[in-house]
Amino acid sequence: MALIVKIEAIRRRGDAVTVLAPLSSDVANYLCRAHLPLALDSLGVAHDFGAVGEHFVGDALVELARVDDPDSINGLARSVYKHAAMQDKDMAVKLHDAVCEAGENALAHSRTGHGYVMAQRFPRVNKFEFAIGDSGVGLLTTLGPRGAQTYDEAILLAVTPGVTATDEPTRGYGISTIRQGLDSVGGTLTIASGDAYRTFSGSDQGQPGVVVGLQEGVLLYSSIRTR
Amino acid sequence: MVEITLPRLVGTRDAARELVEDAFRRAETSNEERIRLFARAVLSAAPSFVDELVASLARHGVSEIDVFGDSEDLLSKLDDAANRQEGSVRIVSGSRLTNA
Repeated sequence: MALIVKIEAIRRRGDAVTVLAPLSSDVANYLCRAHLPLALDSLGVAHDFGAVGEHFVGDALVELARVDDPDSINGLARSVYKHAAMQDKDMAVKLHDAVCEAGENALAHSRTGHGYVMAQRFPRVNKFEFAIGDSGVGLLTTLGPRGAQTYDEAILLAVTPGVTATDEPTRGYGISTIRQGLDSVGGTLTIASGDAYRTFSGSDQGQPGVVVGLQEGVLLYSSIRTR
Repeated sequence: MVEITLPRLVGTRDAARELVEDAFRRAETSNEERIRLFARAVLSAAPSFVDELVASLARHGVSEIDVFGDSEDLLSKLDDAANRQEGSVRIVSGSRLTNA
């Protein structure tokens, strides 16, 4: 996810990009099954991923997909629900909500008009992960007018109930609610933007970290231990 | 009376607006004080969907939403969304009356 939004941002600046497939055939095949080469093709990015035959990947993977409009968000959220419900229905509900909220945020605030979603179930280690990213302006630009002076402050504002980049008083509750929801099913939520990230687990301020390089736009990632 | 039946999985603000506008179109009215919301099928409703649902209903003059078949989770989201309308919308739940 971080890779595709980074490449998209570079392409938007007009620079040429060539992506070399990983040397490990396992990793390369995984990325093919996750549809990374298709996403690169759609951005006009040269790559040397070989052709991997499409085969049924079961209920374990929601491939990397672009969301352009509310309908595509609803469709992917339903798909994530279906995959997660096989393991845990409570978790599936929270994931559905999270994809909807984060997907709408990407459409509304990234200023690119789209984002990317990917999810995966790991039944052998009882884990479910999903990520939503965009290559847009990032949280400091959208929440700077609300008082954020650093990316880290912007991340904290993003999870504060009622804080929104819009002027509508009823907005700004989505990310804080999905944070609570994911926490209630034992999941963590990591938000990365610019040079900062925070991983939230429980109701505290989360664990801060520094992004090596810069995270384009906003990346939300969640990992949930399943039953 | 305007009646809205929520689907199993409801997510985006756009979907909420569409549901409300469709319901008012079907009822051939643009303003209603009280509506019925059937929520028996709902498995999950994203907070922004619920927020927009209540806000869209408020824009049509709705001051009371009678909810049927709601879950605790949905009811809590509806209450939160109604509170953000500064008291102009009231949520009335059959299950809450039954459980009281």
